[in-house]
Amino acid sequence: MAAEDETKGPVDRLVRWVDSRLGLSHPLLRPVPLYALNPFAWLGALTVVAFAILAITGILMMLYYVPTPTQAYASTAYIFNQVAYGRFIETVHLYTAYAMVLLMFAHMMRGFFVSVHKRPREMMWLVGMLMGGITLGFAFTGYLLPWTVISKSATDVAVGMISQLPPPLASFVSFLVVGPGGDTGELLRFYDLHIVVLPAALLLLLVVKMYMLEAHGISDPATKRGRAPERQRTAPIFPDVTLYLLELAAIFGTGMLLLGALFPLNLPPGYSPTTAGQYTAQPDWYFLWLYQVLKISAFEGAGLTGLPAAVATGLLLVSLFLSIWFFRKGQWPLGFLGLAAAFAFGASITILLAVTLLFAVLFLLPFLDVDEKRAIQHRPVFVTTGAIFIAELTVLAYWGLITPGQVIPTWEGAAVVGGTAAIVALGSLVAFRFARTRQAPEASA
Amino acid sequence: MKLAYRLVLLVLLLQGTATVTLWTLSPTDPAGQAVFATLLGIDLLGFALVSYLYRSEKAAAGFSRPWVLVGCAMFAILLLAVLVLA
Repeated sequence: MAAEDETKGPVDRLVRWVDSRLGLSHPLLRPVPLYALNPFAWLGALTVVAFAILAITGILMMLYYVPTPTQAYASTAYIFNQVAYGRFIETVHLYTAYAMVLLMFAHMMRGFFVSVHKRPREMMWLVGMLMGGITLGFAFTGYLLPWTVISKSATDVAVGMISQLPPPLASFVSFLVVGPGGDTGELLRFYDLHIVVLPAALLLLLVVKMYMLEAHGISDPATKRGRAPERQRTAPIFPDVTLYLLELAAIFGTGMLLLGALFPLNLPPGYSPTTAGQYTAQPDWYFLWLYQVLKISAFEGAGLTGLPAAVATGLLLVSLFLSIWFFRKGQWPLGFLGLAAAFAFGASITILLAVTLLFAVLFLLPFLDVDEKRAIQHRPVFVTTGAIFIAELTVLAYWGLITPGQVIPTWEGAAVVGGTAAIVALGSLVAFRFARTRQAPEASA
Repeated sequence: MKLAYRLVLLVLLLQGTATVTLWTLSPTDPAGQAVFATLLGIDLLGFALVSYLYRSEKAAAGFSRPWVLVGCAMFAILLLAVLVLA
């Protein structure tokens, strides 16, 4: 053994020494297949890295931050202007929070398209969805804490939206985030949720998800090429995979630092009823889609009601049924048409229902997309639904950005939401037809 | 000396210089904080590059030149950012 060590370089000897003392290569964690050593397979891990950066910068800010309405802005400004590297810490915290939301979304949508939710990983998908909800909860609760005119006004709008929820849910959420204590109670609740409840819940779910990941392993690639024998070889978790992950984390950290250096944060004015009157309340970018949805349906009315709503609901169900039937028969054009029609009928009843439908599909995906086939070209319905989901979020968010404070007529909302779905479905149809015509000669050859 | 070792030495030199320079900055001055972030980025990127070279040499397949060039380009961007921000 000693002779073998002498033939190795100093770095190898150091690695072996660390490994032998810490037991890092003990088979607690399973080796990782080589096909999984690409950045897209590690988006979830990078989300955890972002969470770690947020925890470090957040703890540093906690040393100075005071969660009371009279002190919150002053203490934030103190961190910003007086504390060593305070502006840098706040900037990195904000940008990393944005990155965490983006990475979470990218991780989820990649999983959607490459079918990671299929048997036996259904529960991993559900736990991941809960973690995604918690990530948005972090963004929601953290936004209020600086008590700037922008953050407080936007949170007031969001809290007002809570009253639009069904009564028992509205009472519960209102108790959870607002309470009876006015501004003081609200800020304290947001702070407690942000630094204690949500991190604890996220860490707990992370442990559960990691346990399941170890039990099931990383999902197989969706394509035949990915399952080629030479790609089935594995790399040990230490040092290879650990170093690979640290490299990705370092590159991600470098990106955050460079962004923070080039575009440092500027603290907006503090909140007061007077300054609030000069600003149009608007949420941060990750909630703009929801803001726009509620501007259409909740503020302007609930779309169709009475008999027309019942007819539209019937047409929605018939379209959905026909769509599935046509897809099963291999009649893809008619299947896509049915899918777009179902979405348009849903949108005409209420935009909120249409978007809720999309989220329901996303959450219950493992129990809806039960086919054994995993490649994108064999899942036209779900791939199209995923593409519609991304397009709707993007369009609604941009629309919300350019129409701050404007109430949108319901028919206009239905036209944009339904039109977006129709355009994406049409594009998807063309893409799938093109892919099929290209595959046909290959198959006959 | 192998190219990988020469690259590692160069990166370590750059990281050392960045780390020493970190301590000369004003921690409350906005420009100082921006340069601090960029120099810290150089340290992190240096770690990623050294780790990549180590893994590649260990696998005996050698490193990918395009990836190392991308790393060098990122170093160049960071150094340029330091010059602009300072």
